[in-house]
Amino acid sequence: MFRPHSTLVPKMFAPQIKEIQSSLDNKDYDLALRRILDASQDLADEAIVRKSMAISQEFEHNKELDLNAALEPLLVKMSQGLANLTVDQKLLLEAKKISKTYSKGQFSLKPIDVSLSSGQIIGVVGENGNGKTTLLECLSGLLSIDQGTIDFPESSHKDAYDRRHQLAFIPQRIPRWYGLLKDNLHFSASISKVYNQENELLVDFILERLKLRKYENLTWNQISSGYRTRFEIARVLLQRPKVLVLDEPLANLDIKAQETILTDLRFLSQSRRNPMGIVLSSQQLHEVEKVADSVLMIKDGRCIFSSATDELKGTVVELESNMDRQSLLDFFTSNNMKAHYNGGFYTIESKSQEAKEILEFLVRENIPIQYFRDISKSSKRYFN
Amino acid sequence: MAQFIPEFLKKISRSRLLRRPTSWSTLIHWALPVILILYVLVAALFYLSNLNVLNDSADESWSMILAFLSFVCAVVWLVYLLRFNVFKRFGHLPKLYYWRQFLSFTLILGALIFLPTLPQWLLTIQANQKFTSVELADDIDEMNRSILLLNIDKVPKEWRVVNFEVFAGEAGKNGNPYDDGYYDDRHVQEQTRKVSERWMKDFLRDNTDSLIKISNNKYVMYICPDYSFFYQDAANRYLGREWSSDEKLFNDVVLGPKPSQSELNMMGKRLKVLFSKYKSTNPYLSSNYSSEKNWKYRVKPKGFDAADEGIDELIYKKYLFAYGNWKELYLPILMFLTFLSSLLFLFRHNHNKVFFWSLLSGALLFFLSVIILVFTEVHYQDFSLVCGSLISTYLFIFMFLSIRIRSQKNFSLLSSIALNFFTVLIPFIPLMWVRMYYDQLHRRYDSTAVLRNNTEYFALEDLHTELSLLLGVLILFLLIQFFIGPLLKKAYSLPRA
Repeated sequence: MFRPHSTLVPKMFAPQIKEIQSSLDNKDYDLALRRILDASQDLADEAIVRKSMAISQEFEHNKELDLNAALEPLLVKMSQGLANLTVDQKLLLEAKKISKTYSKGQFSLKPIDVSLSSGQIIGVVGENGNGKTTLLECLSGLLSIDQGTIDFPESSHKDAYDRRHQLAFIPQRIPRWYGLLKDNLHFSASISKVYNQENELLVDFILERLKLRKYENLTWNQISSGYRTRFEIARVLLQRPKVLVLDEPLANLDIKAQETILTDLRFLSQSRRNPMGIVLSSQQLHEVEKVADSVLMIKDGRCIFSSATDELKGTVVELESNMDRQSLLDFFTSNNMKAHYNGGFYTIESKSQEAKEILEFLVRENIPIQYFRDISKSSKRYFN
Repeated sequence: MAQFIPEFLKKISRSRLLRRPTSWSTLIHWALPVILILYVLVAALFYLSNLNVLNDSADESWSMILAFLSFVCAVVWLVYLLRFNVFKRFGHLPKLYYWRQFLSFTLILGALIFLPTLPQWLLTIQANQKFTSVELADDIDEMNRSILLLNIDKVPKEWRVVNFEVFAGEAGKNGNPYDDGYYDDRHVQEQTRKVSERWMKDFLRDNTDSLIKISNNKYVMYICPDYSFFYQDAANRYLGREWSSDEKLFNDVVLGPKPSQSELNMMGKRLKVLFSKYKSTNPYLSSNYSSEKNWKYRVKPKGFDAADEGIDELIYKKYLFAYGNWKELYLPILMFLTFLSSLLFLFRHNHNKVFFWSLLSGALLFFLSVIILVFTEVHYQDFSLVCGSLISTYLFIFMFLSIRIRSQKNFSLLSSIALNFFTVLIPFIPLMWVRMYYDQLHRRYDSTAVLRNNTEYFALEDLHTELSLLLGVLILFLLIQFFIGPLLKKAYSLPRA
């Protein structure tokens, strides 16, 4: 049914092509198709884009399709073009020492530095009510700042209104859409000066790319909250923003949907044709850390950790065990390790031992282990 | 519902969506054809029903129904307007965007507002198609002369006399016996009318030909009997020719040669034909005038009431939109339309919260102003001056606050509300200032009767009133593109404090 990868074109230098090949080899056809659509958009060749979309649609209807054979000529065609595409990482947003204090209420956001370049994702994590949304709203120009500066070095627009078009913000509670979903997408493209056939192609492309085609003729009330988020992302992407700010995009999504959205954001941010910088907030630390280039940990309005600048010292692991709580805490204390019980599991800190050594030690001492995770490099260690 | 929409409308809609999102989002491509279809349907229904223009056409009922229909259409359209908004999406705004938006709203709202007047327009067209003004004026003149000749023995032939006795001082004070009310037919019954010097001075100016001075405080007035059985002044006024006055009928008919019996017979037959030509079949004849004539002269030819009713109906329909009548209708409509279009424009270019706060503040400001006016106990003659000055002060404050938006770094609710007030007020400011000016003139000169009956002056006043409203609309139109629009844009994109 599927041919082995060796029959594909032997010489493909572009990293994207290699990635697509790898996905095909591992029978991850969904990912391969998403990446080939991305690559076709990078080339901005209408024929290639249409062909990629056609193959994607055909595969959607016929899962038995020989995808390797179908993609082979396309990959050959794309290979050279993609190899010549270079990506310049440009500084899009630079916020220096920005702070915000609400006139009503006690909360204030302490001075924070944020620097975002094209193709980069910054994850903002923290517990509820600690200032994530405030930071995001300040960065997107929704909320004024009391001190500090925010610059957009790449923006040619001096007018705040025009800049807001290129600086898209997706709130946690997305305002409802009226009318057909597809009409909204066409509208979003046309207000961004994408007219006529180009508009139709771009909307079709984004529907195909985000796997939303099945829902295009539905209305807002007919889709789930997960798809609403996806449609909102589709709508915003049609505006071709330079900076995309998402507040809790993963809330209310199942694990698979979270993963799909995050990987899509990762790929889309790194587009050769329309690269963008993304700032997103979430409480799904592990998922965000997987895709983010840097993570900001916000607590009580203060940035207590930035993976871009701060170095994490020592080892921190999470452990779940059905051993008696007090015995376990005594065990760690007697072995020069700090342990906290967080309701469901223990957080263990050690200055001298690596995670592997702690695991070996626990096995050796016959401690029952139900769950073990090294969070030394994760901002999760600050959630206590 | 989509299956009921004609294919060509769907194509137009799609084309607008992909090419002109700003126009598409106003739904003008659907609203105008739908309203046009409504106009055509109403017109077709009217023509098919072949209404008799001499009868009561129940056009008020038609207008009520159409007004309700317009209201429903407007509500549906407004709900649709909530859906898509380029401005609120920070989309690309094409050249002259604000003008286009404002014009679209005005066009659609105008078409909806004028829909209820369509029955009257259609009746006017029908009435003018069936009876020309010359024909109507000639027929009325002929009927008046014929009735007069056929009943020459019954009508009075003597001019009536009224004696005026003039007293010093003002009327109504210190129990003075005289009456300075306007002159009308009731006074014919009085043998001597006692009036003040001031009243007589004015009255003399208007009735120079009919008054004879007997002594320093005594005058005699001769009044020609009323020979107009059918009122023809409306027909003549719009025709632009002099009508047969009572004096002319007295000279031509009463004092003129007496026709022979055969001529009178012919006249009687011709009168019947004319009565039948203008006969109204209204179940209830509303003409009271004929009864009064009948009572006064004992003259009531058979079929007179029905013809009188028919002529009343015909004149109402024919001249409903003649200049004098039309301007009384279109000026308030134009003001209402400008107000609604401004409101809609603001609704589309404001945060919803700001718009509704503006409405609330507007209501509060109105009540506050009323309270100020009540407590300052303004004399009614100074009312327009005080009221106008208050509104002018508001305008300058709103303008000052609006201009501040240019330099603001953060969003200000107060400035945005002020800008909304300024937008709503500005089209009516020239009108208000003109009215203030003329009200002051009236106040100063009315007592000296300098302005009274000065038709040129009143024509100029009317013209200035109309022009001031048009000027206000023009100023709004200019400001919307070059001042209000950019400020709304700036205010909308400013961050919250």
